[in-house]
Amino acid sequence: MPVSARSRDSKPEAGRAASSTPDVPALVARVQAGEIEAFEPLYRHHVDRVYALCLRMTGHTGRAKELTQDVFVRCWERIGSFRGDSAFGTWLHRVAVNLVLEQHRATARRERRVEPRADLENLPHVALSGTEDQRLDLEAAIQTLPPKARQVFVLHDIEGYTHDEIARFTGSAPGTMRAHLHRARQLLMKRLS
Amino acid sequence: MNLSRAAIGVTVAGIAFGGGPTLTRAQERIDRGHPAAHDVRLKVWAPAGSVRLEAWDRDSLQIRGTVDQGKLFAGGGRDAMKVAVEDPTGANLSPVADLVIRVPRGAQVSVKTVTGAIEAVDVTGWYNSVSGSIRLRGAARRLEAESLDGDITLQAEAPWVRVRTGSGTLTIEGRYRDLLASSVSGPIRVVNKEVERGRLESVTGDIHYFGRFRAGGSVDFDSHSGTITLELPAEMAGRLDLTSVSGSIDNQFTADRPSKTATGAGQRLDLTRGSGGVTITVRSFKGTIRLLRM
Amino acid sequence: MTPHLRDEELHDLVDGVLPEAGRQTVDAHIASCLECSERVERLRRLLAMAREAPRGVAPPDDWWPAIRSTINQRKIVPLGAVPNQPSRPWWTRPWALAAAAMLLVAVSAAVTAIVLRPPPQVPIARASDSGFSVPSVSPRLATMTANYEGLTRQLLIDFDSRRAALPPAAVAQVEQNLRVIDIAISEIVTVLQAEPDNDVLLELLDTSYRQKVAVLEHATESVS
Repeated sequence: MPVSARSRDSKPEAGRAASSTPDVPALVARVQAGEIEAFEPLYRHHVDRVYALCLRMTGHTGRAKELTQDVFVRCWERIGSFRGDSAFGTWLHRVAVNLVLEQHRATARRERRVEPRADLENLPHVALSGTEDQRLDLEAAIQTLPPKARQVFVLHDIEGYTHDEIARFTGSAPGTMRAHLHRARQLLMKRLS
Repeated sequence: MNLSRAAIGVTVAGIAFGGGPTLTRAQERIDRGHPAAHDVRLKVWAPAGSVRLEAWDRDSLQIRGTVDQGKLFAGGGRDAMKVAVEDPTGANLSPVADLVIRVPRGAQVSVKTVTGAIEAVDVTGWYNSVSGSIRLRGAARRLEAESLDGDITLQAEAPWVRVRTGSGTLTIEGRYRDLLASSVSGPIRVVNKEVERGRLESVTGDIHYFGRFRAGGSVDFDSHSGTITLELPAEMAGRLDLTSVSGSIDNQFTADRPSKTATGAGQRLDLTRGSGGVTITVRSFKGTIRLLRM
Repeated sequence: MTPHLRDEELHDLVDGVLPEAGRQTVDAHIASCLECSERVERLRRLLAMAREAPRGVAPPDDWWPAIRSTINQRKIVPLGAVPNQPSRPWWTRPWALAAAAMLLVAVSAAVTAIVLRPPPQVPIARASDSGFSVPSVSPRLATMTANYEGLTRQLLIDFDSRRAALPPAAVAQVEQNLRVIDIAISEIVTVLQAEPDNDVLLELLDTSYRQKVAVLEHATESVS
């Protein structure tokens, strides 16, 4: 069964404050004309997706916060280059991916992957429902992956980019990306078993 | 009976501490039990000392032993638990624990140490140490063991086994249908009742296989420069495909003589005996391959 | 009995990109091998969990004021969509500059990996993503080398970032193991230059690379 590429168009999460979907093309046009007031609803409509990406790619809430804000600032800077060839959410997502990867490469020190000691004492004594438990496990396990493996897994298996697209983002050969992806999957299966 | 005062004092101390050895001030005695599902998943982290796991027929976990310069944490639910020995003070102490953990027979464990020795009897799981030794016995559903330079000894029966060491010695005795044994420079010695699918590989370590193979099976032996020795039953049926790229083949199993490889630097031997049987492939870069009769 | 699925086959099967030529053999093997069918199932479950992961995560706070403040402070004016402007020279375009930066980073990463350990005495340049030119090699060797070199380079970086958490003797043993394996790889690759399609050599090379990956993975997992 092929893994279908997921649509990367941003959709508001159910139950979010945005009760109606904004007219994104109209807002984009206003932002391109310099109206910062029009940028706020775009931010609110897309921030969840961007934050999720930054969080998963970095495994670090502090950096995810900084990167999310940087993404929107960059979006504001470069929105003039958005020509509507794709959905705005798709374009924004690519801006986010590029920024996260740039920042990662520029970081001098790799984050250590540390299993928080506190979680041993905080483990619930009553097991959560199977599905939620598994989801939390997956997110936690993703955060323990080595950076490159984590990035490729998030981009391919969660966000739906192809190997070629990821290779273009990262500047690495598709074969190398496949190796990282396979490794990520192996590590996750091991940790989740 | 007359007892000296000293003896009385020791006896009193012994009674006060439950009759065991006297604890030092930094030591903590552990005797804990937790309800556990019959197929509980258990993670154990004990950097130094020893960890011994035993299977029993109860739906509970029992942890006994001592912890020195650290604390034992245990948490989780019936289905998944973690046990860890750590230094909670942040003073960079090196906790040492000697633990015996009894687990339900259907449990699946994941044990990690740095220098601590690991021993398990009848317990399925994954055992990992940096330099501690690992010894696994009894019957299990699957066994996986890795040590950087510790010795790994298996005396068990399990359908599926994966063992790796860098420079330690691998000693594998028992019955394993699907076996991977790998070392960098450590020797590998296998005494096996039967293997159906296997891969035994080393870079510079010697490999010595003594045992039988299951009909229809497929086993690969790879070594860069170590000597690969196969001691085979005389009645063995199957195909043996042996190549040493720049080393030699010593066949004392049959009268066949090896031929030179295409470059002339090494030797090849291709034997077929009977029908069906096992397929054995042996590859060496510059080591010697030896075939002997059991 | 056919050998177990290689990892590559497993992932290609689940991703739906397994070449038709091998598909029948793989399907037949899975039908008769409990272990491999379980591996396939586990991977499918993992990917299903990944696909069902929430698309968005609500941030813990409202960052709009900070973003707006940054934009105002920097007095950033968005570049308007101005049609019919003469195009800038290609080398000044963001993608070209980014590509140049990526190349520089890739080169420096390769140098870092070399600095971490003495390189094997391999007379062949690596067919890697570093952008180095490569003498002609068999496609199979080139693919194997590219995949493994890329992966081991990253693993070396991971190991280097964690080595302080291992006992010094363990670090020394890991490095010794890697040296032993690298020498083996060098020797095999040297002979492969004369016999690029020698299956035995390629299998031995694959074994050595797998062992190198296993040593590095074990070393990094030991401190995670």
